[in-house]
Amino acid sequence: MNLTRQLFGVLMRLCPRSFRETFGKDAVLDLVDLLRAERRERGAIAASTTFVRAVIDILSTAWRERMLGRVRPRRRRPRFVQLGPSIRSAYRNLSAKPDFTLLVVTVLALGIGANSAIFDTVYATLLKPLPFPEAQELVVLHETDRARGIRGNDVSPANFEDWRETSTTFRDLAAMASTTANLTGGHEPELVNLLRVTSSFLPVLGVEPEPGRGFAAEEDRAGGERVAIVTRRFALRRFAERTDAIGAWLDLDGERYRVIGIMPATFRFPSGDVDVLVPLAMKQTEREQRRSYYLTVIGRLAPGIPIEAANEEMAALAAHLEEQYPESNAENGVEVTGLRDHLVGAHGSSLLLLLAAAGALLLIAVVNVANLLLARGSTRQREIAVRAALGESRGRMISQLMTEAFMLSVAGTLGGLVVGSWAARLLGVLTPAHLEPERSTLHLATCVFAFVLSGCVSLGVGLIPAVSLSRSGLTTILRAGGGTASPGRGSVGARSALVVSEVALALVLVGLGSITVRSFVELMRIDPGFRTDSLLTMRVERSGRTAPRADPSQGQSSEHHRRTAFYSELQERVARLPGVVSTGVVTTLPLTHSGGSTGFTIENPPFEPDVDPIAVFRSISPNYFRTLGIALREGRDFAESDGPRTPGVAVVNETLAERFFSGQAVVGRHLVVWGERLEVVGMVEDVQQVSFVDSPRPAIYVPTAQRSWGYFDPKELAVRASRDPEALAADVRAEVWAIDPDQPIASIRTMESIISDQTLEARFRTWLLTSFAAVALLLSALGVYGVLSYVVSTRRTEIGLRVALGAARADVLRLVVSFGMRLVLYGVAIGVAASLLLGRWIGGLFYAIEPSDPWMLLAACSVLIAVAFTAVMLPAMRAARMDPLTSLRSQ
Amino acid sequence: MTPINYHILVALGDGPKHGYAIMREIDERTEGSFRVLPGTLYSTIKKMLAASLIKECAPPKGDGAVDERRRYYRIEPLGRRQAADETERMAALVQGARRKGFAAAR
Repeated sequence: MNLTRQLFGVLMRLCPRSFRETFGKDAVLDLVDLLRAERRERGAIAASTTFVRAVIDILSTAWRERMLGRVRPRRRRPRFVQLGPSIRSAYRNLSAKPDFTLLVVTVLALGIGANSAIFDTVYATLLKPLPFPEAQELVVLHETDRARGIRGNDVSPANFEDWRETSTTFRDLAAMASTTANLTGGHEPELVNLLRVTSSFLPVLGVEPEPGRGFAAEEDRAGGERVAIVTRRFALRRFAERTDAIGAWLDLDGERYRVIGIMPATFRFPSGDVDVLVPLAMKQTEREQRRSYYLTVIGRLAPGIPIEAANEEMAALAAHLEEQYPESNAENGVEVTGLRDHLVGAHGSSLLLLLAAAGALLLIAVVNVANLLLARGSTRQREIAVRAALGESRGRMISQLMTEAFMLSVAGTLGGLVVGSWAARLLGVLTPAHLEPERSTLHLATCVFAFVLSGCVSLGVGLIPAVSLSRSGLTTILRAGGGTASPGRGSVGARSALVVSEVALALVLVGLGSITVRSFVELMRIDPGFRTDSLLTMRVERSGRTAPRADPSQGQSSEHHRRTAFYSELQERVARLPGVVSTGVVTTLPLTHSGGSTGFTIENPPFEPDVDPIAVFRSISPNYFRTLGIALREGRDFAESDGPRTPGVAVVNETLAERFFSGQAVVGRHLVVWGERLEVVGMVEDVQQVSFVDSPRPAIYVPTAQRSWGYFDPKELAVRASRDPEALAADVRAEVWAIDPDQPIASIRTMESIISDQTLEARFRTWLLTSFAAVALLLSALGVYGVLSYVVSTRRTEIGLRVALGAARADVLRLVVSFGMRLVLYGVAIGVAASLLLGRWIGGLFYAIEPSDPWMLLAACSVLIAVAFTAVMLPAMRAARMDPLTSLRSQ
Repeated sequence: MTPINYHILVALGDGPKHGYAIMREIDERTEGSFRVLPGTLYSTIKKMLAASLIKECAPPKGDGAVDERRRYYRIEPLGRRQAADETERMAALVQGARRKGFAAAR
């Protein structure tokens, strides 16, 4: 709405000052309120219509008010007042050439559509207010680790408590931790996404359950009453009727929680897939932890406090904690980021790049349309000359031509909005999921944007031809003595300038396209370190009442024993299924999510590492490496014999061996993890753990049968298949439920679809920029062709004379080609300079390639020059084949 | 009297209002069949102010829904008389037409 307000503010400036000062403020307020009410009561489409009508209303009011002051004293007709006849004659002219009109409108509709769709995404991501009151006050706090160069770390509970107690720049802080829980007691066991939050969480965000209430402070203490707030999405799924949800009971991991509230449907924080919120209710031991980092901390700045002040205060506080707890907080800092920056992350610059690319494409389209209008204009020279001779004013003629351009661009915009709303749905991929739910209509702001764009387009499309045509009016026709007018130098000059700019823009886009393609090829070339085909994965997490925690007679080992027994029975059963090659379980599979790391120490290290070593930590079953196809480099794999009674063993990856043993033999060395001494028995190749573009990290694997590793106990099952893995899913699920009907299963997917999701954005961006480049190439070739054909047609007499006087065909060819290619080369030169400048600005947006990569730029130049050369050759050949007699006789 | 002048006078009949309230009132009373947008509204208000049909006034006190940001207008005696005359004129017209058998088809 801010944008709307600004736009109307600008429009009001068209009104006379006295009117604006008296009524301007009220009118803008009214418009904003009106549109808001309209949108609420009648929907977005009605609001858009009202918006357009309101714009017209203001424009006509401005006109009337201005005329009021002007008409009276001098009873003369103002120059532009005859809009009616202008529109009628523009309509006549355009409908006389329907194919031309349709072509122009289509080109503009595509250009404006692409821009609107991308703008819509930009708006949703970067401009639209977050759904929280005073959202600009919301911040996210992270720990940083200067020694390891880690930023954006989660926060440890003890640090959070200290921050919350000591800081003064925040109204309040809140912590949350995402986890999952097994929900039982329904028809099918279900894995739900749980958000554990402090009681300050909802007040900090400024949202409340509706109906119901938020968490009370005493419910956020260990031993407090177990209560839960559910999201609307979950309530609809679980309770269907939302009224009886309050007071209902949920069995989460074997504990009963009473539902006390339902969040409104607009609540999607930190993402849209949260099901249930429960109090964090940390125990005293948890509260004192300084070395495990798992809380996400958000805060609301105190009124009037800028984020810099909060950063300063937190830096001082972190320094103080560093002194107080050197063993845990050494080199730890704090970083305060605005919530939007945190949510948008790297998406922002990528989106702006796309918007800029779409803008460049639209510019090319506009230049082309301007060229088309010029070309058409030259056939109308006679009409214009006659009108000029009859005494029609230049202003009147410009207004006539501008009206045509305006009508074309309005039609283009309406088409563009249709194209845009369709394309925006495709572009949903580019919006970070937590920022907005799926939509089916464009934002109002986008419609405003499209119409502003349309105004610029009609100026661009109309003004150049209008001015250049009306200038060449009377003198030309007199000079040409009534024959076919040959245009002056000005007209060719204008066209040449247009072509040069078109080629330059096209080069930038083609360069960008080739860089994205190249970067994408590099991305696809990455070896993830395991075989990704024919692999079925699912989450089968044991917890809650299916694996009771507190069994006083046997303690923790009993729970571990049951879990291990469950997984080995499951693997045995699944391995017997036809089409299954092998199975394995693991903490978390590669490329799904980060999964977690742990600190460790090395016994008798070959050299003292600078910082405490940290490694990705995975508890796995013996067949895991074989199932994923991770190659063993040295030593041995885990075996069934590695059990609770044999000495602890571990397998490490190449990066760990390289980094901490600098290439010396690692097998036979000992590591200490969580106080447990582990012998390294093998080394495997690296796998991409978190994402495709991650640099490999040190990793430690331990056999799951030896002991429980708490959080790191296996949760995911991988099945290597010899047939279509998806077809196996139902059988595997049946086997799980044959062992335990209460066991939830989630995220059943093939590894290929996981990878496809990971690369979705890159793929989409590549596709988009490549098609922009292709269209830009085509349009600029058309532009070059059009201008050259025009030049050849105007120089027929000259060429005919040259040939008649003995010039060879090759000379004619050279004449035209050199003229055309000179324009192209100017354009290329400007384009190269622009690309290099742009490259500096967008450095780092592409994987494995610099945006100003000279080879890519060279490739782009060659492609463009080759295409342009073809476009130049066609008219040049025609000129060379021209029969001198015909061309001379036509005079 | 133009329809928009008439509608504005009628909207102000029961007390001072600001521009937005006038717009909403007209929209609701005519069930959306007659809509005024801010540009036209204020340029009409400007003329009516000049003709002393309405007058700018302080926001009404005691009413809960006062919007301090906006200008309020009230109807002047001249405006009230003209609106009453217009209403009579139209009523007479309608009556005459009804007597001749013009009525909305039911």
